[in-house]
Amino acid sequence: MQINEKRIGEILVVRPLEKRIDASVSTGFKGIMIDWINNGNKQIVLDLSEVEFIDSSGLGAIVSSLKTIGNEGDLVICRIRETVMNLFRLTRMNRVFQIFSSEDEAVKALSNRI
Amino acid sequence: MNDHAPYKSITLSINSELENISLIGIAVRAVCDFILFNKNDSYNIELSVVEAVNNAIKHAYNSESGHNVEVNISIFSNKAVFQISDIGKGMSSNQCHLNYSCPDFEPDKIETLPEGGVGLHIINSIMDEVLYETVKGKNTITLVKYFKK
Repeated sequence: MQINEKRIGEILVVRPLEKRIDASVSTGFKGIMIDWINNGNKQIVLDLSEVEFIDSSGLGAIVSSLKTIGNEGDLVICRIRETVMNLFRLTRMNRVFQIFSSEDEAVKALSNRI
Repeated sequence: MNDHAPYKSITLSINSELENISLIGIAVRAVCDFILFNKNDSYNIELSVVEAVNNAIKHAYNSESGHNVEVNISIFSNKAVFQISDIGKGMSSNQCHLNYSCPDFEPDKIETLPEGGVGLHIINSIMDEVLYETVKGKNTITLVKYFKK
């Protein structure tokens, strides 16, 4: 799975380049995220601007990443498409994740907590 | 037009590999766009069908390749019907019923967050009717979405 990553201070900005995060890639995606987290990246912005479709297994990978970070940091989401947002609402995950319309806002929100 | 007979239908078939599910998803969304569901409904219907196919591959076939999963789409005057079928291990009506509700969790307690098991809840939230049955070893989940008037 192709993922673009960049670092802004202590924050890791992760942008999956796949159009779909479904059952065929969710295990690989989760593995990459957990490796980053275990290597000390505890403040993560997940930019979903390229992603047109996520199913429950893709969502599970994102939830699993948040649970791996635990109370040592946070994972926030930015630039999510309205259609993909449906999945977060249906599963009430919109109440779990902070969701921002731009990367700048997401980075700023995390920076204020460091 | 006769309400009891579809005026258009198509059957898609894939080998039971997770890599093939995106092809079903893309085809379902294209059909939904064609029959004038709005963008959100098309996305949601694609999501429901993908969740049903995920379940067929993971649970009915234990993620084993070499089996057939069939998706039939029938368009009626007032509704679209999606039937996902497999001939693997069936789901008991009890399992099916229990999993309809969203797993309980507290948003601010991350240890309670579910990492899976929400597929049937998603399907049930989106579709107007959901029916699961096994006939002569063939398991079929039928998902119905009515057109908005």
